[in-house]
Amino acid sequence: MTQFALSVQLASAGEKKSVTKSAPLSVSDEENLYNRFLAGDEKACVELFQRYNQRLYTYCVKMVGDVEQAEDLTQEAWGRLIEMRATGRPLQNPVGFLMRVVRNLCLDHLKARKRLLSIEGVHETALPSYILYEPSEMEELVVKGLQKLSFDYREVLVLNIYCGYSFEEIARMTGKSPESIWTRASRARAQLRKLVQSAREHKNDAASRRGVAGGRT
Amino acid sequence: MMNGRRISLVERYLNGRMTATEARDFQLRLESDPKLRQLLRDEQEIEQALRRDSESIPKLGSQRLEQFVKASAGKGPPGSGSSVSLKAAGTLQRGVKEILLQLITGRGFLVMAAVGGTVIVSAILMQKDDPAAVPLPAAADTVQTASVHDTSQPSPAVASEHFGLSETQAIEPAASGALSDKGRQISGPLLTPLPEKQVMERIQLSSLPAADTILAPPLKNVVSTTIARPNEHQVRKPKSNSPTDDSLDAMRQRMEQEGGRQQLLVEPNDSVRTKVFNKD
Repeated sequence: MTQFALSVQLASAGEKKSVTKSAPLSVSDEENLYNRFLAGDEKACVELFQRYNQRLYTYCVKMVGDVEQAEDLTQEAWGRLIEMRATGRPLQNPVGFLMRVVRNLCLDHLKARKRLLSIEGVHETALPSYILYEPSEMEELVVKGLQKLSFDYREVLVLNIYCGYSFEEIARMTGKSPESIWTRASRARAQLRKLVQSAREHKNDAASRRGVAGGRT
Repeated sequence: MMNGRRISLVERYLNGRMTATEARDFQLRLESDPKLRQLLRDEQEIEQALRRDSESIPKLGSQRLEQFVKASAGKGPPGSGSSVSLKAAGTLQRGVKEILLQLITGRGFLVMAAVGGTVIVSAILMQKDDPAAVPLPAAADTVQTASVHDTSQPSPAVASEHFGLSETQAIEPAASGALSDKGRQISGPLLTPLPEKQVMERIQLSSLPAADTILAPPLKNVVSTTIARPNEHQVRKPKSNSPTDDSLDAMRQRMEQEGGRQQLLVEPNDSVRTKVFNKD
C-alpha cells in the first residue's frame, strides 16, 4: 500500500503571520542580470537562460501539450528577450516579461490549433507523449483532468506545482494580487478534484456494468 | 463540520498557509474527522500524481536553444562596441535571412524560377553532342543559318581551325577520342554539357547551405569564443510547493531550532501519524 505523506513544518510558537502579503520589492537577481545584459554582458543573458529555461519549457509543455512545440515557443520567448536589448528598454521583472511572452505564445498557438482541429477533444483526452512510465489509474486521471481544465486554472497549477513558483511569485509575474491567485488555485484544485472523482465514478460504473453483463452471459 | 470548511482547511494545509497553532488544530481535527482524513488523502493523491508528472517532463535538450541564445546574445545592441567578428557574423546572418525571405515571397520566387529556367535551358542547349539529349525546336534564325551551312552542327573546318583539332575530331569528338588540351582549355568546365538531371541536382544542392544557415545560425566561432559550457549546478531547481514556501521559512527555522520538523502521515489504516525529523 502506498503511504501518502506530506511534510509540513509546524512551528512551536503560535505567532500569527500574514501569508498573503507579498515580498517587498527590491532589485532582484533577475533584474541585475538583465541590466548587465543590457550593458553588453552576454553571459548575463546565458545565466538567465540557464536559470529559467527549464521552467519556461515546462510551462509550455503543460500548457500546449506538445514537447517539440514547447521547445519552439521557448526559443521564441528568448528571442523576444534578446530583441529587447536592441531597444535598450529596462525591465523591472524580466522573468515576468518572459512568462507573459510564453503565455501569449501558448495562447496564440492554442487558438491556431483550435482552428486547425475539427474535433476539439482529440488532443485533450490523450496522455502527453513525454510520459514514458506506466502511470497508475489515479495518475492518468489526474494528468488528463489537468489537461481539461481551463487555461487560467491550468496555468496557476502548472506555475505552482510544476514550475515551483509560490502564489506570491505568480502574483508578481502576472500582475495580480496574491489573494486572487490563491482563489484561482483553490478553484482549480476543486475543479480538478471533481473531474478526477467523476472520472473515477464513471470508470467504476463502467466496470460494474461490464461485470453484470459478464455474469449474465 | 461543513465540507467547504474541510476543503478550505486542507488547502491551507497543503499550501503551507497555516500558522503553527492552526496546524496543531488541524492535526487534532484530522484524528477525529474521517471525512477530513479522506479529503486530505485525496488531495495528497492528486498532488503526488501531479508531482510525478512534473518529474517526468524531459529536461530540455537545450543545446540548439542554448547556442541560439549564446549566439543571439553575442550580437550586441546596434551601435555598441561589439567585436568586428560578431558584427560580421550578425550581418551575414541577417543578409542570408533577407535573401531567403525574398526567395520565399512571390516576387523572389519568380526571379528564382526565371534564373533556374535559364540555367536549365542553357544546359540543355549545350548538350548538342550528347546523343541522349532531346533536340530543341529550332528558332527561325537558326533555321536560316542551318540552310546556309546545310547542317545543324558547326562546320568541321571552322572547328578545326579554331580549336586545333583534326577534321575527324571536329566532326566526331566523342567517337574519335577526347578533345585536345587546347580545346579543353577553351571549353573549360562551364562549357561541359550536363544532363538536365544533373543540372537539377546541382540546383537543389546549391540551395541546401542557405537553408542550413537559417536552421543553424553559422555563428560557431562566436559561440566558441564567448561562452563556456553551462554549469548545471548553477541552474536553480524549482522549489517544491508548500514545504519550501517562503511563508514557512521562518516557521521552519524556528522549528529546526527547537529540534526538528514534523510530518503528518495518513496511514493506509486511516490513522494519522506524526513523524518528527531531527536535525541530524
